[in-house]
Amino acid sequence: MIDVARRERQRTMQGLAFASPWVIGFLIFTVYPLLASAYYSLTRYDVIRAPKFVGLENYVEIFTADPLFRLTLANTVYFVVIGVPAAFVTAWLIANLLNQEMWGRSVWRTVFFLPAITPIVASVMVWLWIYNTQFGIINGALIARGLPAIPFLSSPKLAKPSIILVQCWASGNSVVIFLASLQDVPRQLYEAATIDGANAWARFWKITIPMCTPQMLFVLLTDLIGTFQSFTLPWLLTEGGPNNATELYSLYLFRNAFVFFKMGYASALAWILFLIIGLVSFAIFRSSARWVFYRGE
Amino acid sequence: MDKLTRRAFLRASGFAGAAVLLAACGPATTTTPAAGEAAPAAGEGTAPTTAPGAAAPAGQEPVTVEWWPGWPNPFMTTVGELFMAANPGIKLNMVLNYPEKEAVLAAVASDTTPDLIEDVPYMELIVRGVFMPIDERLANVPDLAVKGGDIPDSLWEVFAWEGQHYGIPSVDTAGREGFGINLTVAEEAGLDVNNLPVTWSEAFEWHKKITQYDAAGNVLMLGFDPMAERTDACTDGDPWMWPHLWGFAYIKDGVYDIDRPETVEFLTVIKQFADDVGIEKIDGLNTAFAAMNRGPFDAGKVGMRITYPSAPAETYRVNPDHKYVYTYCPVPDNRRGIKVQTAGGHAGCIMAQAAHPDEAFELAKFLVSPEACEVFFKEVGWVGPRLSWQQTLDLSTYPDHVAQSIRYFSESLTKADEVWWNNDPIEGITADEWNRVFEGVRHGELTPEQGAKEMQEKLTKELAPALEER
Repeated sequence: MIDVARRERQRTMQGLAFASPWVIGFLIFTVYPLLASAYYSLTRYDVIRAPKFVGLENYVEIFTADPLFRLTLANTVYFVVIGVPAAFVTAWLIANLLNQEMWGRSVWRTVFFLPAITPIVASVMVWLWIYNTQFGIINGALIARGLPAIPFLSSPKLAKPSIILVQCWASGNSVVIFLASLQDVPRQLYEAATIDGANAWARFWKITIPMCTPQMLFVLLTDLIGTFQSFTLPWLLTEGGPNNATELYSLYLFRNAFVFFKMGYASALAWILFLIIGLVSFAIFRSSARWVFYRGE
Repeated sequence: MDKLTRRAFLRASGFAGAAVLLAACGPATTTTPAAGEAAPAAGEGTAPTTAPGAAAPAGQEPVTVEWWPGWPNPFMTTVGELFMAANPGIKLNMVLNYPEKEAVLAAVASDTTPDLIEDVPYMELIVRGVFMPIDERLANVPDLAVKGGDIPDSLWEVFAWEGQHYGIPSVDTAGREGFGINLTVAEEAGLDVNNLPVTWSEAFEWHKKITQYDAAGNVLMLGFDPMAERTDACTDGDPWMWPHLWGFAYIKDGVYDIDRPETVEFLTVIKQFADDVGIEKIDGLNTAFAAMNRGPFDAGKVGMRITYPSAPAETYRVNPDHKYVYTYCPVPDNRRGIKVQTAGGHAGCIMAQAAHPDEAFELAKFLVSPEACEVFFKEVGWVGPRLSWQQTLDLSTYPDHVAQSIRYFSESLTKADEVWWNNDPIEGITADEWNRVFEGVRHGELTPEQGAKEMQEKLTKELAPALEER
């Protein structure tokens, strides 16, 4: 009996020893920065000089006296509410198309996945040319036909949808996940439904979608968290402009930390974002009991 | 030899991990002296046995100076090589990259700063004690006297705080503003190029005459976008020209003075140009040519632009078919005839944590030497601040209008009626707020009056914490 317990303990220790590089890395590079940022959020800190404890001052200012907090949060919510469903639906539709029997299917799958593995800076350069008001493929054609150019990135009204379009274009990862889930739906379910007289639409609604909901939950959550933290695309395409139309929360957070020398304030902003993302994720998880179906349940 | 048991290994690993964690949890404070605090004396603690730069004694390695030169271009490498050839006792480790602010902050926080740096938000770092004051060192260099020396007095003051100086002006540091006019385009518009606009009213008239549209309303040629290029120009050693053109300092003795009629006036002027063409069309044109240094101005698609001292030579190289001249910026009607210039640019600054401040000082001096100025000018057309060198400028390779423009930038600091500069300790916030206000005004979301008021309130609120001693 004692030997069993000792062997079990030894195994545990061995497991911990093998996991220790990751555990130590996690503690140093994740847990410590997390705790440090929680402390810094209660300080006035510019990275250069020692932090000065100010209690909840940063949080009070964010909620009561910072119009840019409200503006950037509203912009981010716009991207989440419009951009996440748009990218989700786009990826789902493309995955369904790519799941059909068609000529050159592998090539099409590669084509749709390519944007996901293309470096984002290269993608942005291409899109900057597509959106260019003088020489872009769209505006060049419009101007040549005597029509007014479309100010994709220089109009506050169009800049957000223009960036969301790029997000949709780059949703190859979600396409792959959806495609895998579609291919994992048991064929016999379709066969049984067909025998029972279900048409294609009914099979799609009653079998395909329910069977793919676990993957949908995963894509929804990762997209949502990624969009709340979205930085690179708007930074490279518009730098938050025009007139703050694409100034997202993470851009504003970055400016506070590294342009305004306000790391304490930026840390407070980061914690607020963390809580928002946590709450939204929690709500989605809670709701998932009603719309996510796991096989075998 | 004892066998290392698994248990012993695990115990050791545990202690090591705990030790690393404890070390990481220590206070992340740094030990930079506050602005104005005396910096370590030259060579303190490691008294040099030879003059900095002299050949290292036999068998001794040369001192390696870490240098972040600011521009990752070949001309900086050339200057570095010239310096090492002239100073065999010093080896340079050049980090050829634009020193982003976050990299500088990380270096300061982790005590891994270079010895010398350029192209950074100078004043924000100066007031936080990141740089070493250099007045004592300068006292031994007569031609680099901050008063009446070979560099205009005003340029020294750009990198000064509370009476101390923190950088040797260099690279392309001369008169900072030039009103560029594409004479080819102006002539095509039927304008008299012998009578260039000197006030904003006249500039607007020229703008109206130069601007052309196609039948669908697309801009074919833009007269003048007064905000292009200089929009973010109150960071990294650049002045914010608008208040100066209207004849006032927006910050003086640590107090902002922005909410005043003159601010409302120049915001109104800015809005006038935006309203005339449509802000989305102007922005669209600027971004369409963003790959070029001066955007559509270099491409001959914009008639006028306020720009930097590097413009005459650079634009000539890009578009030699068009004739550009650069002169004093327009002023409001009630200041007609007053020639205004601003001082700004770049300086070599010794980090307070520098391992080799003496050698870094030698390098900073070299960056403004005639040899270095010559490299900058010949390779990229940038004009350095050394007055005696400027007298020797060989402009024979340039056409007259380019030569005249280069002379404008080099001479305007000493010939202008008014020379202004900024010492704004929160220039990053100022620039951001300024951009936000002018965008709001140009897009019609803020009135000029609201813009002036908001900016005054915001900057006044932000200044005190930045200057707070901790």
